[in-house]
Amino acid sequence: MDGKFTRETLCRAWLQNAEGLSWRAQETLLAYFGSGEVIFDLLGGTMLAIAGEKAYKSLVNSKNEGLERIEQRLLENDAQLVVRGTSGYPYLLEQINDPPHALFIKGLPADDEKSVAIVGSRRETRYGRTQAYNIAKELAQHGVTIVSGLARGIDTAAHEGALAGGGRTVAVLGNGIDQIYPPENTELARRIVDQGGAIISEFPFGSAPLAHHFPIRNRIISGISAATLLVEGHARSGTMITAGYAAEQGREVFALPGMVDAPGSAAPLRLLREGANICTCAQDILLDMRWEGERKSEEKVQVSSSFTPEQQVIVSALANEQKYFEELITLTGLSPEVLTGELAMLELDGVVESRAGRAYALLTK
Amino acid sequence: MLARTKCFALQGIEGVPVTVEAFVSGGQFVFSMVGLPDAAVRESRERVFAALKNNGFTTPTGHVTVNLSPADLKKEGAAFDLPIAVAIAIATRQVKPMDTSGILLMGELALDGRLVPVRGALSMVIAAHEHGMREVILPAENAAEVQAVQGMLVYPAHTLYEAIMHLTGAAPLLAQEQKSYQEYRDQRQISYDLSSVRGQAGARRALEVAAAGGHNMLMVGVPGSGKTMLARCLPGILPQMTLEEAFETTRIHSVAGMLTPGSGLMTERPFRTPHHSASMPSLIGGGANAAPGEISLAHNGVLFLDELPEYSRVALEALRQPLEDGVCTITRVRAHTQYLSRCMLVASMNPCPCGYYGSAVRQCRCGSHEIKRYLDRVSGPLLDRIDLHIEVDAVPLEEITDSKKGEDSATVRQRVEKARALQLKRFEHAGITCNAQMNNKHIEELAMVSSQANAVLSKAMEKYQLSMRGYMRMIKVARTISDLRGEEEISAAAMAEAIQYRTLDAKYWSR
Repeated sequence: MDGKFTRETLCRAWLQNAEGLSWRAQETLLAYFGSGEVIFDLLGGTMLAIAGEKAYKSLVNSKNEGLERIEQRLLENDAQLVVRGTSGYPYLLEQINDPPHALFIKGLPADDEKSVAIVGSRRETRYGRTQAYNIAKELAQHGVTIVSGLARGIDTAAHEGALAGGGRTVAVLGNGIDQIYPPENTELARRIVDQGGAIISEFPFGSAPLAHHFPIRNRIISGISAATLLVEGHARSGTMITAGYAAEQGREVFALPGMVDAPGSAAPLRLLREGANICTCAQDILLDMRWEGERKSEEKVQVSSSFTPEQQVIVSALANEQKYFEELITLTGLSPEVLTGELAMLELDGVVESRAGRAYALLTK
Repeated sequence: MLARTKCFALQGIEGVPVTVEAFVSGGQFVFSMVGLPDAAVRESRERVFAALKNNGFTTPTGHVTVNLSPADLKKEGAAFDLPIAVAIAIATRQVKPMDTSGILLMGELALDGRLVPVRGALSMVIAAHEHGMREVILPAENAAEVQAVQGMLVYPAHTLYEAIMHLTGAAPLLAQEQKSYQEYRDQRQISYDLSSVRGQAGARRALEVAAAGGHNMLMVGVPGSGKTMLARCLPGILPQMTLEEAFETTRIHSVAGMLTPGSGLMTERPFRTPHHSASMPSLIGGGANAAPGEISLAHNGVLFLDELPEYSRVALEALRQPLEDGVCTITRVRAHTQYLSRCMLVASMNPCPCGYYGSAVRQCRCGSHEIKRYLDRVSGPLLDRIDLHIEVDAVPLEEITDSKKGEDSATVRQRVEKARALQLKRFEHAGITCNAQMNNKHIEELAMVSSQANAVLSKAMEKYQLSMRGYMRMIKVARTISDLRGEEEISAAAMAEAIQYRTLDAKYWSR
């Protein structure tokens, strides 16, 4: 055995990698026997009683393969193991009631003081995606680590935003660290690690992303974060579970308001009613967490003098909210061909953006 | 004795002359047919014999040989029944020997001797005219189809008996009156008129641009926004078909057996809507006898693909080449056939699987990955061949119920025809007819982009990261818009409008 991992670390990895070993059983084993090495060396009848049959079988099998196999798997995946109570283990995570005994980590260990979890629906809307992206980006620019779950939708937007802001982002997986789910985020996962972030998981190598893993995983997302921001979520969803954990763990909970009639607004609006902090922009979080002093003055959409008369009419018609093309025809009284051309020019100048369904809106920064 | 008659075989939409020879000699009864007849032709013996008998003739005795020459050309279909029956009647001396080499005979026989209409009558008559023949006897129900062919004496016959009596001179048939193309055009009726489309000013404008330049078009919109209705209006605002175009289209439909019996020349541009379960051969043509596909049936008209992402990928990819070339080549073991396929492609699709992404009235319940997977079923190369991309808004109910009627198709068509006239003049020596057909060289030499328009275009190139092909497509559409405006050079305003018709793929497909 070379020097990369100590024998104790490998034994703890062996223990963490056991299929079906509950958090509580591992807690008892460690309390009773003191160290991973002792458990590994003395594996026998007492442990069968504590661990249960399934976990014991798995422990015996992987003991027979030898510690070299565990080491090999860690090296193959370029992963490390951080053990609770040692340096590199997230301080904030240590504080929760049931912190993982050890974590598999790819990238830099996730011991961040300023960290915000951004979670939300996998069936997101454009609004939610844009907000998650922008908030993550701005927070990242202020040196805040963005934590999320690498899922589709809001999670992906949050990771992307953090990367775009040049910051650090951490993805907590609901499956073994040797695979990426969903597969289309493989490339994103690689960029997260390359850009100084981390991918972490407490699940054994090769575990599939099973439905019951995610609620367990969610306690880590909120646990390693100083605050949790919920962007969009349906009434009964995993995002509500994460927010629940955050509150239980004594962390700040933020929610981003949405329109009251959208199904994706159910979770954040309920949290707001129950007393969560409101978040309308990254500044809200920075201020409330006392990470930043002054609120910057907001920029206003300027009505430029370089607009043609038609463009001025269009811009003022769009002042309050997005409008559909047919509505704009009625509001501006322009012919379809003129309106089409002017909208193209406004879009090219970055004043207006076109949205799905042939809607147009003023572009705000 | 030996007798000869003339008829034509079909190869694609072309007619190839075939001589039918019948030879009867003494001896025991033997019947043989040579010259690569297919099953339908070989079976004609049974129909011919029954028809002869039921029309007062006797069936031959002795050694009967029927030869279809040239011998190495595969003969298909039932159109040979009549020439075979006439040849046998002459060869058995029931009819006096005569020269029928200048007369085209065609028609399938029923057992009682009635003449049944055949596929491809128009193609055969046109080919016969090119080969110097000036007379034709055909089933009465095929007569209307060939009424517009000038310089041909058309004798519609109902039975084998009538045909033979005409040939012998015992009871001559009346030649059908010819009809000029003008008369056909005057009868033209538009089945779907734009005036019945309420609201949708933006989409109507895009439709007009598409028609004026012959551009392919993609409509994205929520269910019930009227995409299909808009597409159906397109043939009505396209310019009238020329005589040549009408002949081309009718021939393809005739060969495919798609003409309603008794209908004349097609003057309305075809509108084809193959279902999305359509296979590749049914779209581009094929099958054992290399039949024309939907894209050829839509020649000079519109091919409408509703719910574009639902079509099989293979079928869609196969459309690319015929769309580009205006002709599709079908190669089979024995047949190598080309069909014209110069049509406008109009496609429609929902923006997402549930259909309501971006809708003002209903919440979309698709995740972004589902939307992406749905959109990705339409490949980039196919999108690149579609010049105009537009979004169609759902029309609010109040617009449907109480808005003033929109312009009718005739008014829009006048503008389209004016723009097309400018294009015909521009491309006089270029060998193309409309802006959509321009290649890079034509664009370079003939498009006339003003410097202001060029500035707008380079800005758009940068913002939307357009490919070279996308760049050329924008110029083509801008050229059409300028033609509608009557501008010599493409103005900045025309270019800006054109850009809006190409930004959809940036919005939807690049996420």
